[in-house]
Formats: sequence, structure tokens, C-alpha cells
Amino acid sequence: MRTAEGFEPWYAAEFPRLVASLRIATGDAGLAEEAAAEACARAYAKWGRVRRMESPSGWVYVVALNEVRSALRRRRLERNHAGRLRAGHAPPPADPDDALWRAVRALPERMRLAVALRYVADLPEAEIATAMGVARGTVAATLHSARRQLARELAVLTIKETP
Amino acid sequence: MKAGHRHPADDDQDATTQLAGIATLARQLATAPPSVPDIASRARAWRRRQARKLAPAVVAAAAAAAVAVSAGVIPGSGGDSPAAVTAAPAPAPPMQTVRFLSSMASVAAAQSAPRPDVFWYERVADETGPATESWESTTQTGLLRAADPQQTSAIAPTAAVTYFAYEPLTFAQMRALPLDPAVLAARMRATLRASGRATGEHRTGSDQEMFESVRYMLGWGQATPELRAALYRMLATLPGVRVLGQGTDPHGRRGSVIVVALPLGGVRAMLVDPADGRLLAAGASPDDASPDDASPDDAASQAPAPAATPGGPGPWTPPADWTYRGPIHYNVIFEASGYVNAVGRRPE
Repeated sequence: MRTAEGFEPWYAAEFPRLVASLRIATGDAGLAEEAAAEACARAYAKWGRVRRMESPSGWVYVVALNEVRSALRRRRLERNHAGRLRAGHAPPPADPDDALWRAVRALPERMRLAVALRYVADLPEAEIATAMGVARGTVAATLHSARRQLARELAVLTIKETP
Repeated sequence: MKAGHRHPADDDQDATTQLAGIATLARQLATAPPSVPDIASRARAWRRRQARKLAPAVVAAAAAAAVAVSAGVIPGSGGDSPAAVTAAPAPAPPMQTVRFLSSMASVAAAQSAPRPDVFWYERVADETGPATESWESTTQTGLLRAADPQQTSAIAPTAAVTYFAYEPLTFAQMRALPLDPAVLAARMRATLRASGRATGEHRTGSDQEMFESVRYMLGWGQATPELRAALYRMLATLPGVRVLGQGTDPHGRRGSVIVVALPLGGVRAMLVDPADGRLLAAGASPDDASPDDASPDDAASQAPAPAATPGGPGPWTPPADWTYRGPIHYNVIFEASGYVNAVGRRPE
């Protein structure tokens, strides 16, 4: 289809990063896959416009995070919505058994989201600010706090693991 | 080396280096992405939903414009400026509805507030399967939720306990909500519009969205008696709301039916216990009950266009003598809720 020209390579590159970022941010593999697919579908629907944006990837993260928020609201209305969404799909892989992963998962929600968008999605701070709806300075401060907390956490783990 | 003796800059550098590994870990989790044809099919479904969302807005705006025009030519209606049309007294529901909702506000206010404990328990059934039980921590940042007490698991940390105008709300924020119905309504409308702007969804603070928001808070929020009373008083100011008499939920529990009219016909409904103001069930007219439409987002999208500018078309409201006589299908049943001190316990 002519209107979807260029979508496929962008999608192939972006989808795995998007899912991974959302998984770290939400801690919910099913929700991450669903929100990523929905956001990419909207990118497809508006590809003619999205492809000309300065950062199609930044846009798709904004849409995906909105979708996560909507899905969480819907879940409160329909408790087993998530179960239905996942019906027919293979179960997602378990979380890695890794100290770094656990330390990132233990960060407060805002820090975790900033870490996911910076280090997994590889978005610049300005786009992270847009996606999170905060000022750019707040992103820098949040990432700094996250790194400080991670360093502390990982140092404690290292000491504990050393005989 | 002890962590406390290191320079903070070293820690920051170490963490930055370690974080490079998180992307590698995340890539290991990658599952096969949906195919492009799957995504294209999703895109078509989304376009269809968008088209349906726009339809009521257009119809309602046209209807409202027609009303505004006819109001403008009535002799002695207060002048010929468009602003005079909007300065007319705000419509209100029929007196019977207002009286009932005011009495429900008094009933709700008279209930004693439950003593908070460490878990909030809910048992909710819907038409898709057996009732779901949950225990949510009221003291930890992360909510603990379990369908089965043996399988309690932490979900994404969030301090939100309910939703106000589709926005997550913490206990502290809930307690700080205004209790004056007019101020509460203004806050709710403003939050709905801001939330719509933030998400790109079409939200106007319409009666339909306000009704959905109230239903949300009555159904799930651990709202105080004073807040419940304020929510009922606020409902009494929404011209699209009607009380339709008695109804029965699928469990056979009787209650009073409160509905809001939808621009394309049909209603959204709630069944409340007149003895204490509790929400028993949520539902809709059958023509509005498709599963896809059960989300608050789509409910909100039923809302018509707002008065964007002074003198422009006003929000859609049904005629003063409007009522609904069709069936109501209750698809979410609130079986029980309350504070408990441990996962696995249920309120008396």
C-alpha cells in the first residue's frame, strides 16, 4: 500500500524497543504488548503524517503511554479485561533472573519510566519530557535520582553476594 | 569497597554503565511482533471506532445549533446577542429526579465512614465470568492485588485508589476534593477537558462523561460519606440525568435506577441501594452494551460537542420531558467491598 511506504522497517526496528520499554515501565508484559501494538496501529493509520514528524518514535511513545493509562482505567471497570486481551497469545517470557533487572523494577514508577525511555527506548531527554508530560529539567533530575538509587542498590547487592 | 565511601560521581558513572545492560536484558524478552497485516487490521478497527466517536458529536452539535437559532428569534428572549442565549438559566433534571437525588445525598451523608484498614477488598462480577476478588494495599506504594489469596502479586506501583474524571486519584487527593456540588462539578469538568487535551481524546465535560465519572467513584473509590453525598448532589444538577424508579440486578437485588441519556439514543445506568446510597450494579440500554463500548473512554466519546465559544452551540441535553422506558442490561455487579486487615479476609 502506497500510504504505508516506509512503515515496515520503522515498525520492525521500533516495536521490540517499545514493548521492552513499556514492560519495564509497567511491569506487565501483556499490557506492554497490547499498548505497543495499538500505538503502532495508530502510527500505521496516520503514517502519511507520522512519517513526516521530526520524531515518529517520540510520537509513538506518547500514544503508547496514553494507551497504558487508558488500559489501566478500563481494567478497573472490567477486571478481567487483561485476560481477554491476552487470550490466544503465547504467554510472555518470564522476567530475567538478574540483579540489574530487579533493581530497575524496584524503582518508583516515575524513575522506572524515565530509565526505560532513556536506556531502552534510547529517546533524547526532550522527547522523554514530552512522553512523560514533564519539564526537561525534571527528566534529568529523575534520571539522576534513579541512577543514584540504582548505584546504592547494586552496591548493596554486590556486598551481599561477596563471601 | 563500601558503597558509602565512594564519590557520588563514581556511583553515577557506574550506574550509567550498568544501565547499558538493561537494553540487552530487554531484548532477550522480545517476542515475535504482530505482523504488519495484523497492525493494519488494528488500524482499520481504530479508524472505525474514531468514525463512530465523531458521529454523535456532529449530530448533537447540529441539534444544539438548531436550538440556539430558534431560541435567538423568540421575541423578548433577552436581546439579540448570541451571549444572551447562553445566559438563560441552566437546564436541570425534572423535580422528581432532583428530589430523589437530594434524598440519596442525605442518606449517603448519614452513613458512618468505615474504619480504614490495611487492605481494601472488592468483589465484582461481570458478564464474562465468575466474580473477581481483590485485596488492594492501602499502605504500600504498590498495590497488591489477587484474584486468589494464594496468588497475591504486586502490580505496577501506583498510589491511585480510584479515578476522578478518568484521572488516577490518591487517598490524599480524594480527601481534598471539594464537597460543594457546584465546585466539585466545575473541578470535574475542568479535569475531564484537561485530560482529553492531554490524551487527544474528545472530552467536553458533558453530562455523559460526568455521569461515568460519578459511577466510577461510587463503584470503586473508597469515597467518604461526605463525598458520596456531594456526588449525588452534583448528579442532581446534570440535565441529562433521570431517576427511573425501581430496577433489579442479575442477582435479584432491588434498587433505584439512575440513568443518563446518550445523544444517539439509549442510556448508561446505575442501580443504587436507596437504603444507603451504595452502587449495586452498572449497566446500559442493550443498544449500548457491546463489549467494545464498555470502556469509559468510549463512553466518554458518546459525548457531544461542547459550547466552545460564548454564544456557540451548547452541550447536548435531552428534552425536558425525555424519559427512557426500554430495558437496562446490568453487566458489572458490585457484590461486596470494605476494609480488611489481611489478604484472604472478607468484610463481615
